[in-house]
Amino acid sequence: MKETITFNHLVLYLYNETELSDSVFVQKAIDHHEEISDEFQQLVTVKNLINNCTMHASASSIETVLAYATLTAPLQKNMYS
Amino acid sequence: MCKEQKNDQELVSEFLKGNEGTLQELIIRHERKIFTSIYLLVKDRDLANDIFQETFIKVIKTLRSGNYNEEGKFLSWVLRIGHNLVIDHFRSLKRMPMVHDTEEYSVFDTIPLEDINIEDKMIAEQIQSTVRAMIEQLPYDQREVVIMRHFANMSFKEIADATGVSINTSLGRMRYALINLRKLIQEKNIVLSM
Repeated sequence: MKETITFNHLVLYLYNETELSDSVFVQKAIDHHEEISDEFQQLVTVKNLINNCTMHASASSIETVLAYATLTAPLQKNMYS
Repeated sequence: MCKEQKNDQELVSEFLKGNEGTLQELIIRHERKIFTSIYLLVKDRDLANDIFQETFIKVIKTLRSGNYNEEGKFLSWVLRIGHNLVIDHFRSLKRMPMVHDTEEYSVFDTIPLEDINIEDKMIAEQIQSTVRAMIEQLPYDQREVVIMRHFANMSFKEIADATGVSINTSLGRMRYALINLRKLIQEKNIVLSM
């Protein structure tokens, strides 16, 4: 078992990429060490801010793509029976 | 009554059968992550929109040619296309942003701070804009791993494979990215509660 927790442990745990045993190890460290808990909470804040900073493409860009798809669509079977 | 949402693969299949409307649904579902990923690399909204369009045109062409086989990973596939188009763009300008890993970066001095007496929506938009501006200031390889992890939902192993580095390197880049962003937030003493 690992004796010391590293920043990489926190990063992997932050992104849910730890094995179960490591998850338990990291969570214990967070629960029992205020410094580690504070560090981890700061990382959670930064991660959430990144997740929420997305922006929209312009409406005209989306319209252009959809128009391209329509204009270049393969000819369908004759719709008129 | 809420219609059960189709997954990406189902929408792609329907698109290939001639249901053009499903493309719009796919775009609406993923456009924010795709556009933001491109924008954070090129740092120019007009250029990002151009590359966004090129990306989806390439997506459409590839789907219709029958060469799509990324079952379950539509978003990361599209983001890879966008990423490659960004690289092509920089190559054409002979200005590939080769920046080395470093903990040091120049403090971002031009983040505009709005008056605190603004509506919640404007506050949220400003926070988002500020965070994007901070990400833009990261070295390229740190920005890239942030984009791949957050918007393409790639694991650190997948990021390592895609970028040709070890998993420890991709983890290290994310580590520095998070440390740098945290430092920026603290140094600017920006209130970023949402």
